[in-house]
Amino acid sequence: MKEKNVIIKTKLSIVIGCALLATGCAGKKPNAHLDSARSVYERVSSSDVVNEFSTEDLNVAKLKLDDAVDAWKDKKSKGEINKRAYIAEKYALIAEQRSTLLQHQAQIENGKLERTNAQMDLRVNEADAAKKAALDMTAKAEQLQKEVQMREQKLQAQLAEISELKALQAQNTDRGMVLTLGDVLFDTGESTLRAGAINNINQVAAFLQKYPDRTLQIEGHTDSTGDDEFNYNLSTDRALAVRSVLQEQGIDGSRIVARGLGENAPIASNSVAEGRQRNRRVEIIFNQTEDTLLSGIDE
Amino acid sequence: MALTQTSIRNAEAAGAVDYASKPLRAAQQKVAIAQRLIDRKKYDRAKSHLALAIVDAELAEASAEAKKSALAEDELAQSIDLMKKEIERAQGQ
Repeated sequence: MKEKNVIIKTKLSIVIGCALLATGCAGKKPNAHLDSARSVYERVSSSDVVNEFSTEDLNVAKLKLDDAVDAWKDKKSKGEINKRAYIAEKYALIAEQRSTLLQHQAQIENGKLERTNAQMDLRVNEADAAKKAALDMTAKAEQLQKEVQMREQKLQAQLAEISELKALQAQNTDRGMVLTLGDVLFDTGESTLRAGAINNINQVAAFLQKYPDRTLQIEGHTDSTGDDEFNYNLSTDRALAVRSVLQEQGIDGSRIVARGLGENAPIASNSVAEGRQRNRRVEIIFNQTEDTLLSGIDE
Repeated sequence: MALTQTSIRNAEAAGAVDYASKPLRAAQQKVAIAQRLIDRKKYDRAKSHLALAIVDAELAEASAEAKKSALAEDELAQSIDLMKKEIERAQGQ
């Protein structure tokens, strides 16, 4: 294409050269329209865009310019020369406009490709976002399922713990699970535990070993018979005696608070023998832990 | 005459009224002159004007097409720009 262009330009310069040489020669007067057509053609034919996109239109313009030059050389009428020069100039301009059109069209094709790519990128982005959202939701669902499972396991553990306490004959109260050791487990007026009681307390120790987070309060109580101070001391000694047995079984003393309340917290009337017997007792209170969600729930 | 008028109609259809009014007007003026010459039975000169009017009309058509393609290209470039910005924004998140 370049080569062709060079040839065209060479031809043109010959034409112009002739015209210029001829200007001084006999008969041929300079023609302003022809000069104008030539200069427009020269400008258009040197445009890179025209040479890339509309060489055919440029060739037509060249032929028209040749026509005009021929008319001038053949000394045709001024009107004829002007007419051909006008046509030649317009065809050069048409070639220029065509090249502009074709250049834009080529760029539009590129743009369409680019737009398609961008649209694909956008869709890929959207798909990625949707995929991520789906994965997030799946992960969330799995997390929730795990939480539900953990809660269920915890619940089962707590139920197991409570049923073990119940097996120890503990009662569910608003202070938590309470195991009451009766009066019959002690010698009258003494704080020494009878052999039968030891077995009972060993079961509590086994429970505490199994559930190391559990802590206890041990409370000694008496009936209202006798001296207040004696009752207080007796209840305290009995509570401490229970604590000692647990410690002998390897339970850490820091988990157990033992105290005597004397006759101050009766659970039955002291005016009848049966009531008094119920009041003489040691209570083992299993403190609620953070995990004992079921505490207070009546089963 | 018919050929010239076809060329002018083509130019108008290409949008020359809006995008290439100058060469279109030149063509129309030449047709008007040609019409007057025909009325005066000066057919050769009329023919001459009509031939030139065709060239004007062709230039008007080519210019209008070129202008329209430039506008279309701008519009496309803008829409691509918008899309790219949207992609950048989405990827930035």
